[in-house]
Amino acid sequence: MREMEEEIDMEIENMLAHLKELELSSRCLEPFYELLERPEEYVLRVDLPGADLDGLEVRAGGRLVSIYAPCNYSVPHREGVKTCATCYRLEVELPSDVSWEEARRRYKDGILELRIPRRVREYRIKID
Amino acid sequence: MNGSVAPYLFERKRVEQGSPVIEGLPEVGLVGTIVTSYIASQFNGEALGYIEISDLPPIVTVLDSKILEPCRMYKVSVNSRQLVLVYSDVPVPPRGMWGMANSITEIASSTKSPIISVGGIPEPDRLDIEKPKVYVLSNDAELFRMAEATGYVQRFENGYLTGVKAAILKSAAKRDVKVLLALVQSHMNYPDPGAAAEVVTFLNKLLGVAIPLEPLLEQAEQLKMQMRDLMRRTSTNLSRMPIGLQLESPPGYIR
Repeated sequence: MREMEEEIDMEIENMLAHLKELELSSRCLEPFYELLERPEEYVLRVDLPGADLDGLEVRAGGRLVSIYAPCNYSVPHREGVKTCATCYRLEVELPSDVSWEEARRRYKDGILELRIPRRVREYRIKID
Repeated sequence: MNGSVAPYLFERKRVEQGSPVIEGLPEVGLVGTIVTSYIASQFNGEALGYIEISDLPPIVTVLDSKILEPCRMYKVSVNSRQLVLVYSDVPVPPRGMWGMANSITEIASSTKSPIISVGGIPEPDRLDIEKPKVYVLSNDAELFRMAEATGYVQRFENGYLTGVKAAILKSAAKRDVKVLLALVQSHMNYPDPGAAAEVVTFLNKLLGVAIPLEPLLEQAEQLKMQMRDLMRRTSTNLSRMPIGLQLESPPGYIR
């Protein structure tokens, strides 16, 4: 059991290190996000603190949505060195077809929220 | 309950008896972390010691060329009221939670201090809530009454608690330490300075102090960016805890 937990810990550490390496080398951050699946719609919330809203781009097609926003992320790291990034970039695939024409968006408290109605192709089955 | 106590160093003689210990370890929305680090920086926190986080590989924090333990304790004086803050740069892994909780209650017991454990409670619709509610729970009737008398909180009535906070409550019962939990509705996976501000407002009312809120709210975006790496680690850590339980209701008794 203990060995299994240690293996999981190691996997998680490798994943976190890989993510950080990617961010540092590309200077592009993958924002934190959550996707809520509601009966009528998907709600995608993306945390974009410090994003430049004038440059915010949301592109969508099929089940895929991609979000790009310039930002000025700069956190002191070592003397003279800062971890910097110039943009947020995220691509999310939704689990089923949606209607992008009716999608709505808002930005509040540094969080971008997209509400995307599901395109429902379903039949009501009568219960005898 | 695991009785192990994580090794710690605490300069007890520099602390007035009864000074509240505010625990704000990284959990939901990093609320506790934001609250404790904010108070420490606003009131020039003096280092009081550290608690070793069991079950972590060797890690030290380096700040201004000083070598520090990741989990540290600070003393602040706010309007001549002394507070002890428990803060950590890294989340406490599930296996280290008992040791951490036992150390905190042992430290509080040594100065006859109550523990005020602050944090977030996950709220899926947090984005639509302008003023998140603060819920309180205590193992001491007088502390409970004082918290409710602020008129700023609601009683935590039914639900589950997990993680360090649950361990602190259990450990405190063994050492006869008073604990007040103050949990605010918060984003689960994003740092939530707005929720932290509500906890600070509650602390102001409870302790009769005046911790300013404006600097916290003004630097909310910068704080969120600064705490990004810690948030990612904390979310990963929380995913190994039964955190979903905090959204559930206990079945209760059949009457």
